[in-house]
Amino acid sequence: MHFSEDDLAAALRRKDPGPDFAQRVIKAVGEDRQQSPRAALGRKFTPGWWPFRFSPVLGGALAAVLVFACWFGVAWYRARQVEIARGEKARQEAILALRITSAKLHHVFRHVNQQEAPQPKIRRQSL
Amino acid sequence: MPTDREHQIEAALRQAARGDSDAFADLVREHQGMVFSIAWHFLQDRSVAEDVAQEVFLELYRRLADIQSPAHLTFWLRRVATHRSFDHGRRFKSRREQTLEGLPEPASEKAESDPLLHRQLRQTLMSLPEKQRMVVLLRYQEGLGPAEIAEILEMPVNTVKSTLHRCLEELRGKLTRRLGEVRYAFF
Repeated sequence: MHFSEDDLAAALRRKDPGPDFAQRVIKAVGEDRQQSPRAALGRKFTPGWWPFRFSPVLGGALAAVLVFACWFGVAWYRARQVEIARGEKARQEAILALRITSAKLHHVFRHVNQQEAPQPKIRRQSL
Repeated sequence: MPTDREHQIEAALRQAARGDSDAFADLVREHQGMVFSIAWHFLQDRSVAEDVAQEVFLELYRRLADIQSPAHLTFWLRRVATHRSFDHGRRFKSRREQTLEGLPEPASEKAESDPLLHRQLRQTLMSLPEKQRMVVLLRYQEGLGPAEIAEILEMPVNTVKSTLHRCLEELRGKLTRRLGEVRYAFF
């Protein structure tokens, strides 16, 4: 099928959006102008590629969630540290108790061994 | 040398930047055909194209202070319309496929000499990948040269040239196949 570049240009000739398009745009501009400064602030801080419009309410909610997450994280960390310290202390105490028990057992064992051991026979030498 | 129309647009630009909505309406009326047509030929959906055009002009209103001259305004509008069309094209891809056939087309200033061929050409154009479609659009709707297209689409000039050549070949091939299928269906 042959077509010329003129055909393509004719097929892609500019079209008109309609007579009231400019009025609609002006109306939209008016509405945009009447929007609160918060929306303008949102536009200012929203990069072009970001699909969501920044809103101060959303920003506040996000900040609150972040603060809560940080607080929760710090509290959890501290509780964990206290738990670890308690565990360590309990371990040290258990080791000490075992050492004392071991020393006492050792002492008793030695004492019993000494008592049970036969007395060496002493020859009486005549004077 | 700037023409009277350019002087008028420059004056309207200055007045609109100072908040004159009538001057801004003049700017919109002057460029609405270009912006709407880029979106309409790219998306083939009238309502989405109108939304795109409206978005582009709203953005223009917010950035009027940055526009320095009528030429800069035209370039800026083409560029923003192009990129907004890409965004909407990705968002409304499935919807666009449904609306390709059968919807009434916007009014054109001149009567078409071969409406069937032109319709087939537009529909075949829709089968091209986005970037290639936009290159063809900017070349044949807007009559831009490869250097201007390259600037708008941020592509190397040689890539634009080769893309144009390849697109025309592809369009010819696809149109032949398409019309062949139609003939086969009829006879």
